[in-house]
Amino acid sequence: MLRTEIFAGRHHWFAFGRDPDKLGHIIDTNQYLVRDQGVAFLLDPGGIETFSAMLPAVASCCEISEIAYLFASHQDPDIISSLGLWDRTVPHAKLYAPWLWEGFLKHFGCHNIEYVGIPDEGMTLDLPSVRLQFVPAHYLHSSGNFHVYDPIAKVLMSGDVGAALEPAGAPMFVEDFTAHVRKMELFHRRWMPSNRAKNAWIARVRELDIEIMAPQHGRLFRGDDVKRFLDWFEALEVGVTALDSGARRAAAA
Amino acid sequence: MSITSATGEQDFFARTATVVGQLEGVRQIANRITLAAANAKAVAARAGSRAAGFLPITDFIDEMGRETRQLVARVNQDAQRMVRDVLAEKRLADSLARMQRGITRLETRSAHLDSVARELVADHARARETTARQLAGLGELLQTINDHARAARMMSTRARVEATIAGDYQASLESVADTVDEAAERIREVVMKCRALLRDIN
Repeated sequence: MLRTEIFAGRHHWFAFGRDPDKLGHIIDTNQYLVRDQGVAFLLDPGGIETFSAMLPAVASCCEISEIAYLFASHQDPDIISSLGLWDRTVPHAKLYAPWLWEGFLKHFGCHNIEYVGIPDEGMTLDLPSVRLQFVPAHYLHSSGNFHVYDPIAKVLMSGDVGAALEPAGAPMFVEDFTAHVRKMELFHRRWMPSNRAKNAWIARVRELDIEIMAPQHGRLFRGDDVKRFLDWFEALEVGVTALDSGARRAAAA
Repeated sequence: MSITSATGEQDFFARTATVVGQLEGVRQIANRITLAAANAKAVAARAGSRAAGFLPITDFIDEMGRETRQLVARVNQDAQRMVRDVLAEKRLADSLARMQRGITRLETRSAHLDSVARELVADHARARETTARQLAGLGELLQTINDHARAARMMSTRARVEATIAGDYQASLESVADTVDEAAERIREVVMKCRALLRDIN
């Protein structure tokens, strides 16, 4: 599992991904860890198949017992089906996840970890040196969905927004935005169901000062590429509307 | 066969499902025995003093049918609990394997993870003991059902003897004895089959 430190200050952000031992038929995922003075926060810890690789990767950044908080942006298996294993590993931890999915996520096994349901409007989480924000991202793509914003590191962990389908071993950061678009387009058109939800999220996120946008699949965006992404996403027709347009085009052809 | 191997697990679930399905048949047979006992009681009542010896036999058969139904219900309940527990054991085994795979890749040993792994090993061992105990318990219940069936066959023999002195009612009472005998034999066959299935799991 590749480990990349994406922010180093009083606290640290790490990205994990590009697992070379990953089974070929499962999608590659990015996991994130914030370490702040002996307190660790694991974001979208990944699927059950990722756990064995994640354990040593996380242990190389912090003591496993330091993990006090976990976060699941939504309910998908590649996000959090490892919950049952983390439940054994850090039973003292709290899981922050959309309130909507509590009864569903517990199917993955959650006997020890305390589930903290994030209300629809979002909430904050205080680490020793930073107050993290859970930013609503409902219907992007899940009906109960949050992202995490760090105003000091200026990192937005953006879940499936900004995700790209990449071949194994792709670099961690976008290097050529224009070339990257084709790797994101299908994913966003199909997975994101609502233009209205998309535009509401873009308006919300444009208010934030973002240096790095960190999705759960594919490459991370930094600097001007964040704005480029928001502009591109704003112009993109997604979801049902995109399907309708496709059908209209096919009928006219 | 080990129920911790993948093939063993699949086979275990198939075998347990077969046992539960077969026992549903036993429950229906037990219902038939109870019905036969009720008929026998009615016939014996009509036969009066000529069938006096038959009445305690019908009481016994009636009781045996009721107990068999209760035992089957318990076996089914225990089998379902065992399936649930075996699934939990499988999850523990899987968690342990994934945990150990992760631990072997650590650059430096983690006392915390070693402790987590030790707990998993202990929990898994306990889960396996529970499964073994449940299997043994099911075997005992099946043995009890078998004992009931054997006793029913003996009673049907006695019932035939009593039927010979029942005059006009002899044929009816013999028919009851035959029904009970056939039902008990069928139960015995099913129980033998179920025990063989469970023995192979062990």
